[in-house]
Amino acid sequence: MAAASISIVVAALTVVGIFIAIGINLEYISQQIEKTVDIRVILQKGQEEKAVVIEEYLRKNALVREFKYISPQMALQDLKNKLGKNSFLLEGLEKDNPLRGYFVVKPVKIEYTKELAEELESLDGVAQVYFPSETVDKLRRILKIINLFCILLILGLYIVAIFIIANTIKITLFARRREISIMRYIGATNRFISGPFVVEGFIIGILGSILAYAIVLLFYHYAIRYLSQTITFIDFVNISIYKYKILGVFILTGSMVGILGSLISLRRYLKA
Amino acid sequence: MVKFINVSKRYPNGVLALTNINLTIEKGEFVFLVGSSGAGKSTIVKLLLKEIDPTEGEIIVGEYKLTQLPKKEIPYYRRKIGIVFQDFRLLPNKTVYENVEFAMQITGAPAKIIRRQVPYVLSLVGLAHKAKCYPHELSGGEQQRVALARAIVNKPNLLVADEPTGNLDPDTSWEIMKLLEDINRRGTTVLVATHAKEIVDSMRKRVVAIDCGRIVKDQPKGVYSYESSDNQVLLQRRV
Repeated sequence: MAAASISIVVAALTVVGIFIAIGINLEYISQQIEKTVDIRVILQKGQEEKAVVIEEYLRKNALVREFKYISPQMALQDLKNKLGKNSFLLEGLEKDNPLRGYFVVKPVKIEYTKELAEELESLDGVAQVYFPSETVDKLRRILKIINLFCILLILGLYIVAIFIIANTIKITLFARRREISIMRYIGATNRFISGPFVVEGFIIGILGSILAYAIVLLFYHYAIRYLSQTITFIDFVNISIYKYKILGVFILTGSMVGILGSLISLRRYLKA
Repeated sequence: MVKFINVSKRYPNGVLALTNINLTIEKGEFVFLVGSSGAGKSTIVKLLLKEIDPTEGEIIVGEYKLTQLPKKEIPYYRRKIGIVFQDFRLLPNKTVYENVEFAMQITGAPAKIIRRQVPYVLSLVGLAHKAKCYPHELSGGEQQRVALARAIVNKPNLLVADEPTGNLDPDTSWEIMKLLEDINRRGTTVLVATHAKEIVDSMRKRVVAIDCGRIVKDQPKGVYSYESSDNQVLLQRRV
């Protein structure tokens, strides 16, 4: 019977673990997306001297987190590097560089992107301003909502796990009610009687969490391997660096869930 | 030692179990509490164990005023009383030794003292050789003797036995009663609630008879009957 309740606790905590993993990844992906959001300010051809003025402006602008200037020469070099073996195609262009200088500007917050872009458009010497459309912002917002949902689900599942354990202990208490009443007749205190039951809840919690941890770890390993192959443009979180910290968290929460669960049942039962 | 002062008990379902009970038991006494089923014997035992509270009146056991006893203190009070039940009530998953030992562990007694005391009481009841047996491996009489050992291991001042021979054959019943007498001789106050007529009649101890919730007789070297003395006089006159 203890095996049955441990299995249910394992199931609940495994789902918790999976959603924690999803949550962490969503957060990580979210941050990555934020990093990719930038505004490209392309200068007019021949207006590279304006770059200094613009730089000054960007430095003073409160909406700007960071910026970088790529001169036409640097742009050409970049292109050559990207072409690799085929860079000979660009031979000769150094004298007559068709590429223009540009700024890469990152806003302090993604919400300011449009506003900042419009400001920069009006600057002298600026030919064009590129910025990511609102869909990126929408995507971020959706991710945030999913993340919130995950957190609520995790909390809900923890509560479920607590109640599962509380119920198991309740059943055990009921099954042994004769013995418990005998113990009370001969003068055992409530604390003396409840000791073994708290230990039982604790063990269920810990065992459940360790098993759940193993399952989640395994699942995550294979899931990420599969996903990374299909969705190459997203970097997933590498869990193995946090392996032992996460085990610690699992064990801690598992044991707390176990102890809480048994205390809840004991309090109700021993109120008499 | 034990004092019931104007004690009445009405159960929540309306049954009036005891009316105006006044009873005093001195230290070292051996008292039989007799009465038919439903007369109120069990209620008195439950009151003594602080399992229930009286609707009226006061109960004093030793230095404890039971009606004023806070819930937290109940276990500590119960340790001072030895209790023996009709159905033995041993812990089934513990051996004879462990059952008696448990009663001492509850009080936090040091292991050294436990190791001396438990074998001692087990030999008092004649069960030292069965220390490692489990309750289901023992006869009824043996189980009751273990219960007795458990009841006296903490050296209580009062021993309450609720129908201790109810589940036993006559011979074994006598063994138990002899043990109780022995315990009483060593200084423990003993109260036995029973309707084992023969035993009560031959032991000639103080008999307190209860009928319909009232004490109808309280005789020093009494016999088992619960007609009030008035009725007896009437009957004698008739004859």
